[in-house]
Amino acid sequence: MSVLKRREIAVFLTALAGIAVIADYFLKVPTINTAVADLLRWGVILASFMLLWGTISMLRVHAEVIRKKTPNQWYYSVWLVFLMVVFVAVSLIGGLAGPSSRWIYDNIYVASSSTYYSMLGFYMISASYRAIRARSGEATLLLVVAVVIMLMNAPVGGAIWEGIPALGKWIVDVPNTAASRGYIIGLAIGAVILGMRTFAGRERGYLG
Amino acid sequence: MAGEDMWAKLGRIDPRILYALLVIVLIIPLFTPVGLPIPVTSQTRKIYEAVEKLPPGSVVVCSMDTSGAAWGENGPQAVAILNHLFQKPLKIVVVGFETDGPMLGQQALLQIEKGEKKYGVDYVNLGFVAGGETARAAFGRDIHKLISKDFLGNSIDKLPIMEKVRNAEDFALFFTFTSLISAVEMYVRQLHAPYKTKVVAAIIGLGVPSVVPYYNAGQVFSILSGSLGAAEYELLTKMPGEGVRLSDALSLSTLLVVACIVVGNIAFLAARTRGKELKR
Repeated sequence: MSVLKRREIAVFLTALAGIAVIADYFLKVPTINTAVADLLRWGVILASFMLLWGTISMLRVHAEVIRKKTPNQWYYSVWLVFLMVVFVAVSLIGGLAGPSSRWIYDNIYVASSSTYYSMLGFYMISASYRAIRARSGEATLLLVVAVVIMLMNAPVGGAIWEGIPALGKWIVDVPNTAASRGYIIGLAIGAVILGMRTFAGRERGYLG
Repeated sequence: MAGEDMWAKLGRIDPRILYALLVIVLIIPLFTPVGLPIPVTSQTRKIYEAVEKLPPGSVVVCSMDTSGAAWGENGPQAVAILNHLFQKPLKIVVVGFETDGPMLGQQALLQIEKGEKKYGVDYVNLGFVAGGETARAAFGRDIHKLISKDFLGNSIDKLPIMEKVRNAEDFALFFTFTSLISAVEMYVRQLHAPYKTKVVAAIIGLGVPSVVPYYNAGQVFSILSGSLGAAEYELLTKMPGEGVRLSDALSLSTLLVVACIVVGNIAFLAARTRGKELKR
């Protein structure tokens, strides 16, 4: 195997970059600080490149679907590619902040995106009627808490009973915070362990 | 109708009836505002007072980490906050670390009254920066090395406002308008922890419970909660807008959901006491 393909090099570079970023957080050493600033910029450049790569990859996938005329699918791919080409062309000609791209974005993308998200409201109303049931003590507790939190988040809650906002705030501030802190700290410890294993070369899933 | 049949029928109600009821309770307040009082929470007031106390020339960053889907809640928040900021002698920087952010930020900027504020001098839209948490860390460290052109294509080195905006130490307040709890967590790690930046989480109502632990720990300066938070802020600034208009719809739809839960459970319990569990 070529020396350039050896996984040890990738693991070493990962550990070096990771340790440098951690050292930068705690140390005021100009050499490390400058190097890490450059590393962060590289990360941003790579992420921008990946967006472009993702776009090309998506176009390839849909071009293949169109070429094969995949049943019940190819016309959606045509529509997607058509809109993508139109939006890119309009933005390149008139600028991203130009009136044409603004019009497309505000009146097609934001409108359809908001509509799609709003559909959740219909699922919620159906679920509230059919799924949120007091089948057991725990389910009843969950049901009561859900109702209190919902009412807390709407002006009507305080209008029904002025104690609802205070009760809701207590639920969010005390039991919710206590439970959340547990998993936040657990996640953080897990991340530290994962980082240490990665630096030590014992976690290699990210190498593919 | 026999009692048992009635409960069974109630349990199997056509969902389209529920959908129609939801549409009705969402539309009614648009034509006939109910005008329920909107109490202002201490968190919203804290944000308002912090903006009021900022010294002239302070830099406030508004990061649009949102999407078209969440704009229904984040939009009124952004407009309410920007309206207030533009009334004060402050420098306003808009940026986005999610792809939709800068376009939505620009939309909010177009909606507000800017007074005598000039683009490039008093406010700027820096556009989208790819890279997630890495980009946020780089933004806090050195904006000029990270971004070369603004959303309109101007070189940021030529914009007067950017002369005094170089890194997170220059931010008096940092707003994130988002539906993502992870975005708030990234700012806690990359801006608050190293630079003590005051991060305000303007988040959709659903995300508030997850941000509260950071607020209680002092890592998030304050929270603006969904469209209701926007309504509260509009009342504080005496500029009622979309948030106030939405609050009645929010109240009535919440009441409908609670009513559905109550009726659904009555039907369920009635059926169970008869030894016949309703089909779901």
